[in-house]
Amino acid sequence: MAMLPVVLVMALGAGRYALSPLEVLHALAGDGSPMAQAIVWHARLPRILAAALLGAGLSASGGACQAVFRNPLVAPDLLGVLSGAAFGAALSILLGAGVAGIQVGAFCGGLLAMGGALAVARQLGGRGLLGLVLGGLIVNALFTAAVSMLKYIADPQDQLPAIIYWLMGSLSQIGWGTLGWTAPLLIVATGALLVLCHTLDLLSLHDDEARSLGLSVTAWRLAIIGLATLAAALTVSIAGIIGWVALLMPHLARLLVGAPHARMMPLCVLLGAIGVVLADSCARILTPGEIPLGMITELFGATAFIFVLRGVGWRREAE
Amino acid sequence: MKFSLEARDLNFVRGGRSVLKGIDFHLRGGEMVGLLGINGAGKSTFLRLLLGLLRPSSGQILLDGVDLQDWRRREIASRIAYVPQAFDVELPFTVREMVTLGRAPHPREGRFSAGADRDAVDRALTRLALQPLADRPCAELSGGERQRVMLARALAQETPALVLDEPTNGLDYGHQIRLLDLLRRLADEGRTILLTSHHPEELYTRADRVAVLKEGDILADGRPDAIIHESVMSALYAVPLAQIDHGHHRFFHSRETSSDGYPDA
Repeated sequence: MAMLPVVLVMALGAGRYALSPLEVLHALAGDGSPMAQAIVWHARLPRILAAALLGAGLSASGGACQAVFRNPLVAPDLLGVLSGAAFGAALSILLGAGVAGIQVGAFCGGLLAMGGALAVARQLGGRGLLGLVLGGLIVNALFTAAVSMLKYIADPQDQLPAIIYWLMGSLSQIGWGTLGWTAPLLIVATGALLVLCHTLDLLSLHDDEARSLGLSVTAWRLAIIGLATLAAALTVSIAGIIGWVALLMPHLARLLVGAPHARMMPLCVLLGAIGVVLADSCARILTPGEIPLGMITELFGATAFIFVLRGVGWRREAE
Repeated sequence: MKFSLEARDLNFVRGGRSVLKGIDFHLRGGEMVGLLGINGAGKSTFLRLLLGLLRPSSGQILLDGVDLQDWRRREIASRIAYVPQAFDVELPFTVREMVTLGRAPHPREGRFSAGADRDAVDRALTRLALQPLADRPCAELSGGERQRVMLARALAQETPALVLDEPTNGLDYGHQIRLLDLLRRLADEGRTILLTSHHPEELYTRADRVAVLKEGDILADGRPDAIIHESVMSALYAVPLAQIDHGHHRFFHSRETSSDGYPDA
């Protein structure tokens, strides 16, 4: 827990205009140089807070989805949240919307996809897991096709690069304005998932077992999917598509403290926050320009996943 | 412990096929009742209906005299524990953690109940000889060990009744005997036990009552020596059987040996 503030202060100091931890603390307290204060308060703090919140939200969402779908290899995109959000953002870019418009478009697209997946599941007559997975599969395919179509008709001079850059995921356009509406919602969704740890334990059992232990499975499953989707859609609207965090962090947390969600979820959220802050710091400072955050998380995430799978987790889960 | 679970004119239709046809059945407190039936007779469906996991197509289930649909799920879970046939867990819960989930129906009353939960879990682990495995991940256990974990979780639930779907399935012979003897002891202590089985012999010496489910209806229901009889068993399994009584035990063997065991038709 103590690591998070340390990482935050170090991240606030890192950048083209480097600040020592002491300078960062002074600037945060409001008595540093005007330059340091401007950098910390206006350039770096909103971005780093956004990175921490995004990492926390994505990890909580991933941990919850893995419990609900009883599958350690799923992430929130199973229900089409990411492809829906990508569609919303691409459509907003095509319609000439500004940053805020793209964010709202992505958020709505993500929720629309989840609603679509649930509706398809209902049409298929299955309220169970299989219906949801199939619904997600179909909606994912539809929105992926729709994004391709939007890319095809986008203006190749400016719209197409904007769509592609957005899909890579980045925090470069974040400011206090975006945080103002996304942060409270993200904190509520993540907090609710943390409070519902015990329910997640039961939902990771088979339906009959969970019911015979007193849980109203269908209602709770929908509620948790709703919260996980909300968290994931918010992160996408903040930063575009940031891969691997939602899949990797729950595994890492389980490897360290085991399966019970009361232990695993808080650590998962903390690791997610620290991981994305570090990844975004790399995105900012590794090159003179900016590397898309999504590329960094994919690169590190995929590599780290090998080591995590080599740990206890995979062999057990494969059997 | 006072307990009563009753099915009245219970019907269940699935996919246009009538699985259960007007079943009347009463499970009384402190009884150990065995349920026999061929594959696909509807035993598991019947158990799931009794637990409120499925809704009957028509008819009624009364738990302690009150319609099951008027009970909240958590209240049912504090009255009846369920041991399903299959147990598969994807996340790496240890044995102790899995058994602790049996405490879920019991409301948390401040921090003190954590101690009560731990005691109940320890008792259950000890009763099923699972203490040496307590910190092992469930996924690493054999099928028989997992079955014992499921039963331990049901015991940790501390309910007056236990419903078990083929609990000896997959257990080695020693554990089959130990588990059935444990169920008998639980019944002697006042718990109500309902289990399905494919082994009439194991019910003969231990059950207070045996019911036979055939083609969606109760074919026979009564004392083990009357039900686990060559005439009923031959009719149930559609194989001519002869019984051998030996002390308190009763065994069956086939009266005829055909080439492949199936009728020529």
